[in-house]
Amino acid sequence: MERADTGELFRAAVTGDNAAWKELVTALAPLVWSIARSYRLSEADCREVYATAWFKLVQNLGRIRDPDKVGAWLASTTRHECLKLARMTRPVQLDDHPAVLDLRSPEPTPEEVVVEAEREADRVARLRALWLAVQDLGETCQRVLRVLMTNPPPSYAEVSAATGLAVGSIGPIRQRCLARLRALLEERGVR
Amino acid sequence: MSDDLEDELRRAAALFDPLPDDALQIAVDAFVVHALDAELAALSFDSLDEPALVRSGETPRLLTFSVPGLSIEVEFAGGRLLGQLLPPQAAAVVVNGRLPLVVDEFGRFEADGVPAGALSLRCEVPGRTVVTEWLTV
Repeated sequence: MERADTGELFRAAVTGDNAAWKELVTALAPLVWSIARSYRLSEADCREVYATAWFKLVQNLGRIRDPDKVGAWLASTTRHECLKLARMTRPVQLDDHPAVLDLRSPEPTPEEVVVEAEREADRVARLRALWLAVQDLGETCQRVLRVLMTNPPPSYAEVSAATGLAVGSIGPIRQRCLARLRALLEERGVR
Repeated sequence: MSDDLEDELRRAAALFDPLPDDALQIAVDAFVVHALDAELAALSFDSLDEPALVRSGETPRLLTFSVPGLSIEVEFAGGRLLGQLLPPQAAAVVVNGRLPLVVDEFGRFEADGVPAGALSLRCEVPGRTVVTEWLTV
């Protein structure tokens, strides 16, 4: 999925264009959510971080100097809200989402029922194994991969703002983490 | 292949950790509430900042938002919101851009069924529009 030109949408939104704002939200909401999830906060805390990031953007509409970097601005704001909350609360595992908690139980989730009806049970089982393997990677790999997994995919500048890692290091870290994941999958016999 | 693996990871994220259903609406509403011509009322009192009170669903949250010449006092507990404009005056108040409230001549207003989460009030009094700073209740 290609992402819309967020800078252009943001410029229009600043002038009060509701439709442009809506499109901007559609383009960047998955990124904000992925970042919140990548900091191992509870579902409720993720929702709070997500909402706060958007409200801060609204309150700073006139103060964003470079509209083309609105994604990075949101990513950085989301990261700071996550760190703020993480200091106040006990971090939880990335897998507290109900659908993930169900991963180890035999009961299929509603999504799985639909997917399995389409005879894709094998594929879902593989995705599930992949997802579980990601949870067993180190914190940096989990975070970087979770943010990179956003659909539509974020820019490296946004991943950098989301993680606090230098832009130039994102590519190498991505490759290293994927290699680790592949090794882990092989170790577990996931094909 | 790395690209294939990443595609699969992206599908796994969408399946096992999806964007919540109401997430887009929350961000869209944030914009609606924020009128570009409105004055922003800053939080000037929050019962959470008082040492005696703990964060709990049962204790009412008391909030005051202020701009010069107008204060908005809010009490929130269990989905019920009570408010008071000071100085007392008639006004139109909208909660989170979606829920219009009736404000009586003494500046009092109330609402039920306000979900916990982000809260912002938009108040229109003669001659000015004031929105309260976003806050999570």
